[in-house]
Amino acid sequence: MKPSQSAEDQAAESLSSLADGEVASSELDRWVHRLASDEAARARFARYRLIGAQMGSEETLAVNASCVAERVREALRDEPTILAPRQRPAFSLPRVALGAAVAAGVALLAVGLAPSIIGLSEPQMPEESPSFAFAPRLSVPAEGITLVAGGSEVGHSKPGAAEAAQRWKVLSPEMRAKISRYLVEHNELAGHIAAQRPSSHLGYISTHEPGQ
Amino acid sequence: MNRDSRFLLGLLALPFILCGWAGASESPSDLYERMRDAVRNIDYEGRFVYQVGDQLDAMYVVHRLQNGRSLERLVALDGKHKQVIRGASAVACLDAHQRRISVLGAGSRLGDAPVASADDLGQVYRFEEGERYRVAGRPARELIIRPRDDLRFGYRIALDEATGLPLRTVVLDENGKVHSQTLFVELKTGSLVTPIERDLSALQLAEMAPSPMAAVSPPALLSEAPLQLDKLPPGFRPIRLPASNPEVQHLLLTDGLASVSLYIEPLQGQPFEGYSSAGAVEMYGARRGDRQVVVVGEVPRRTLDSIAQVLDSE
Repeated sequence: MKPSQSAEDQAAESLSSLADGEVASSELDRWVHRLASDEAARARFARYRLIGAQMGSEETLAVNASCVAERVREALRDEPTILAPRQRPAFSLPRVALGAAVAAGVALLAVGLAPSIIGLSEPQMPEESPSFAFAPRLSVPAEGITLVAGGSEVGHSKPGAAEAAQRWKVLSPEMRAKISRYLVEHNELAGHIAAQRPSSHLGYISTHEPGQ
Repeated sequence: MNRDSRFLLGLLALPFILCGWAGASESPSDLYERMRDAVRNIDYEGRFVYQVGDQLDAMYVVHRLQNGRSLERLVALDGKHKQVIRGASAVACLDAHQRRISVLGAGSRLGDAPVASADDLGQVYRFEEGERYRVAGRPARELIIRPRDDLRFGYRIALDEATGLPLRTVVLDENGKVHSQTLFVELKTGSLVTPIERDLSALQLAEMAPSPMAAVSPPALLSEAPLQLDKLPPGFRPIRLPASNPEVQHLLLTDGLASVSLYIEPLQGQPFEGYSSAGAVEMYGARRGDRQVVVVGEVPRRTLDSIAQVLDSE
C-alpha cells in the first residue's frame, strides 16, 4: 500500500468515526474547523452519514446530517459576500474564526445533538459489511466491545434492558482500543493458566454483544 | 492355538487392556489434568460452535505444537471477519478492517509461573465424573467441576476419551444456569491436522513486536503493593505481571481455573464505568480517585466488583 493511500484511509476512517459520533468531545472542535475548511472532507462526511443512515434506515437523520453539511458549506461560501460590506467592530473575531464558530455550532448540533432532537438517541445499526472498508458505524462495537452500562455500585445485578439502554454510553475510540487490548491480553494469560476450551480467545472472536 | 500364539495375542492385547484399565481408574482430577495437557500438547483442528446467551457463533480452530510452542489460529465463521493467530511468542488479532491488536504470548509473560494442580483446585472446586456419551461422533467422558462458592463459574466438560480434548464445555453461572458453551461438530487430531506452518505470513504477523516492552522480568507473587489484597475474593491469588505500558499496573488473579485481570492506570479522558462484555468474558470499569480501574475475566460480576475494591481504601 502506498503511504499516501494509507494516510487517506486513515483520514477516511477518522471521518467515519466522526460520522458515527465516536470521536472524543475534546476532538470535536478540531474536526469542526477541519470540516469548515476542507470541502472534500465535508463531502465525505456527508456521504458517510448518508451511507450510515441507509444502513440503518434512518433517512430522516441522513437528510438532516446532509443538510447540515451543505449548510456549513453554503454558509462559508456566502459568508464573504455578506460580511464584506459591513464595518466590523474592533473587537470582532477574524472572519474565518467566526465562520468556523458558526460551522462548529451547526456541526456540533449534527454530530451530538441532532440524533436526540429527532428522537434517535440510540440508533440501532446493522453489522458492518466487509465491503465497506470505512463504512460509517454508529455505536457498533469495533472489537466486540463498545457499549457500556453505567453505574459502579457494588453487588448490583445485571440491569434490565430498558434501564441499561438509558445508561449506555459510547466509549471513546481510544478507550475502546485499550480495553480490546486488555481483553486479548487477558484471554491469552487465562488460557495459559487453565484450558477448558478449544481456544482462550473466543471472547474476541465472538460476535456476541449482550445487552448488558 | 499354541503357547507362542497365545503369548503373542496377549502381548498385542496388552495396550488395550492397560488403556481400558487406565480409563476406568482415572479420577476426576486426573481427567482434568489430562484435558489441560491435551489442549496444550495435542495437534487438533476442527469446527465448533460457541454459544453465549441466545447467540451462536461458528468458529474454526487449528492448533499445532512446534518445538514446544503452541501455534494456533482461530477464525470466526459467522459475522464479521475476525481471526486470532498465535505464533511462537506473540498473538495477533485481526478484524475485517485489518486493524490489529498484538500482544506478547502468555509464555513470555508468565514464564514458569506455577500451574495449579487438581489438588490445589480442590480448595475451591469439587471434581466429579459424569456420564459417558458421544460428542462430534467420538466417545466422551464427562467431567463436572463444581465451585464451592458463588464467586466463580462451574463447568461440565465432555472429554474425548481418546485424546482428552474438551469436545463440549458448558460453563454454568452462579445459579447453575448455562452461561456459555462450546461444542465441536468436527474434530481432527494428530497427523490429520492441517499444518498451520504453511501460513507463514500470518505467523510472521503474529511475531511482529507487540509492544515496546524491552525486558520481561519473571512474574513474582505480589508481596507489597498499595492494594488491599486482603479484600480479594477467597481462593484468588495475585500474580504481578510486567506491564506492556509502564503507566499501567497489571495484576493477574487466579484460583487456578478462573482468572481475572486487574488493570490500574491514570485516568485520562472519559472514564470507562460500568459493565461490558465480549463473548462470555465480562469487563468492569470503575473510577477510583484519579485512576481508572478495568477488571476483565470470565467470572460472576460480583467477583469483578470485589476485585475492583482492592483499590478502594487507598
